[in-house]
Amino acid sequence: MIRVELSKLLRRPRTWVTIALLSGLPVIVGAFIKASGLAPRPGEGPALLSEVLNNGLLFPAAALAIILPLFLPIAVSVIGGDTIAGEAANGTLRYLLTRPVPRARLLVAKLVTVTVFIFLAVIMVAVVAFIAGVFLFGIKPLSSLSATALTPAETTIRTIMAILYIGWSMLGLGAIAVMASTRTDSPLAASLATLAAFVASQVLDLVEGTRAIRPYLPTHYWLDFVDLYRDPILWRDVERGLLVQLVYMAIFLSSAWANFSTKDITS
Amino acid sequence: MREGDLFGFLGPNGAGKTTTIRMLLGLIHPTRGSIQILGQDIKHHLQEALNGVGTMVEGPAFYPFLSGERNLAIFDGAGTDGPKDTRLKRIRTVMERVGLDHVNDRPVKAYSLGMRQRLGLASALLRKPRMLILDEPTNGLDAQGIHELRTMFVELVSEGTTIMLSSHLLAEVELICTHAAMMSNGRVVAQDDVASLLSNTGWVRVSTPDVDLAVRTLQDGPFAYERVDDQSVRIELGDRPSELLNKALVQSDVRVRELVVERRTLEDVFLERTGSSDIH
Repeated sequence: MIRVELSKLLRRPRTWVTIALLSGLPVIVGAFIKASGLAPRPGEGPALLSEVLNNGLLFPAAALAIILPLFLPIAVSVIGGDTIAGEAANGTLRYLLTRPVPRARLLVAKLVTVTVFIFLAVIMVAVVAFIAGVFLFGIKPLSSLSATALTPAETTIRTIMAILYIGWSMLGLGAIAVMASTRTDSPLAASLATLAAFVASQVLDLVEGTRAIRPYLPTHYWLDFVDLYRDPILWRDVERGLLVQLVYMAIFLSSAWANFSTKDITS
Repeated sequence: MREGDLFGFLGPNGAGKTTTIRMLLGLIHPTRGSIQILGQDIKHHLQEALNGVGTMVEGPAFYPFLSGERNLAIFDGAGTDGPKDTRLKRIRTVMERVGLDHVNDRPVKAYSLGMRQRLGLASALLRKPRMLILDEPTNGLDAQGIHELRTMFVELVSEGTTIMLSSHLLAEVELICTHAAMMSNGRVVAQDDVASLLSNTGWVRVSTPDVDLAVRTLQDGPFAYERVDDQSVRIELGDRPSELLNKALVQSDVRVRELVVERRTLEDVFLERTGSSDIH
C-alpha cells in the first residue's frame, strides 16, 4: 500500500509543480541579490541571507529560511489536508477501503506519503540552492555565527543536519493536517484548518504576554536550525524543537487514528 | 442470499439500499445485527470477506490524472491478493471484457460517462471475485451498453459468480434476476425468488371487436368476467388453460384479436407492499 501511495504522489503533476515553485523562489531572490550586490544587513531578513554574498555554501540554508515562514507550511498543509479528505472528495476512498485495505494501513501509507513529500521538498530546495549558490556566489570558507570559521566540509554537514531538522519541524504541522483530513470530506477545508492553526501559532509567538506558552507552540523552534551553524553547535533549542514536534505528532496522529478507524464512510 | 443467485435489490431513492450496501462493505457501522459475507462475519473478518468481493457503489471513481490501465493497476496493487506477475494480463483481459480495449493511455478525466461505468466494472472484475455487489450498474449506459451488461451478468452467473444488483429499473431486474428483495423506508418489505413474486394473477385479457357477443358467451359460463371497454374484456381463469378459453370464444364466433395472460409485474408487487407510487 505504501508503494501504491508513493506512486500516486510521484505521478501527480501537482507534487512536482509545488517542489519546483519552492525551489525556484530562493533562486530568484538570490539572483536579485547577486545582480544588485545588496544583501540584507546582518540580523535583518531571512536568516543567513546576509551572509550569502560572502559564501554561496550558505545559500541552501538561506533558501530554506526563505521558504520556511510561509511557503513550506502552505505546501505541507495542502498535501497533508489532501491525504484522506482528497480521496473522499474524489470518491476513491470507498474503493480503497473495500478493495480491501485496512483503515490503519491506509492511514500509515498516507503518513509516509506526507513525510516523503516534506523531505523530498526540503532536499530539492537545498540541492537547487546549492547549485545556484555555487554558481552565483562561489565557495569560500565562511564566518560562522560565532567568531570561528567553518570549512566547506563542516558547512555541508551542518546543512545536512539543518535539512533533517527542518523536515522534522514540518511533521507536527503535517500531523495536524492529516488529522483535519480525517474529519472532513473537503481537502480544502482540511488544508485551511491546518493553515489556521499555523497562523495562530505564528501570531501567538509574537504577541506580548504569551511568553509562558510560546515554548509549546508548534512553530516556535522552527527557525532555530541556524543554531546548527554555530561553532560549537547550540543544541538547547534544537533539542526542544525536536521534542515539540514529537509531542504534536503523538497527539494529532492518535486523534486521526481514533477518528478514522470508527467513522462511517459516506463518501 | 444463496451462492449463484443473480439477486436484485429494489427500492425507491431514500429507501436505504445504498446505506445497506455500504454496511455490507464495512463502510458504515450498523448499530445492531450482524452481516456475513462468503461465510465470514464482517465485524471480525472484514478483510477476508471483502477479498472475494468486487464492488461498484454510487458510481465508479478514479484518479483523473492517470490512465484507465494505471488506475486498475493502482487498485490491484492496493490490496494483498493482486499478484503482480499476472496483473497486466488480468487488466488487459478485463478491459476487453467490458469493451474498453481500444482506449489507449488517455487519462480518465477524458472518459465519457459510459466509459467510466465500464472501467468501474472492470475494476470490480479484476480479481475474478466470487461475488459482485453492484449499485445501479446500468447507470449512464446506452441501450446497447445495457444489453451487453445484461449478457455479461448472465455469463458471470453461469461461471459461478454470485451477483447482487441494486436498481430502480424494475423491468431490468424482472428480466434477469433469479431472486429479488424490495426495500422501503429502511425495511425489506418483500424477498423471494422472482418467479414466485411474479406469479400469475389468474386473469386473462381478451381484445376483440365482438365484445357484446363475448359477454353473452361468458354469461352462461362458470368464469367471472369484467367488461373493460368496447374492445376488451377480462376473464378470471384461475389455473385453467387459456387455450381452452380461446377455443370456446372462437367457436362462439367471437373474433379474438389478442389474448394476454396477465402477470404481476414487480411494479405491482412493489406498490402493493409499500402502498406508495414512489417508484422511479
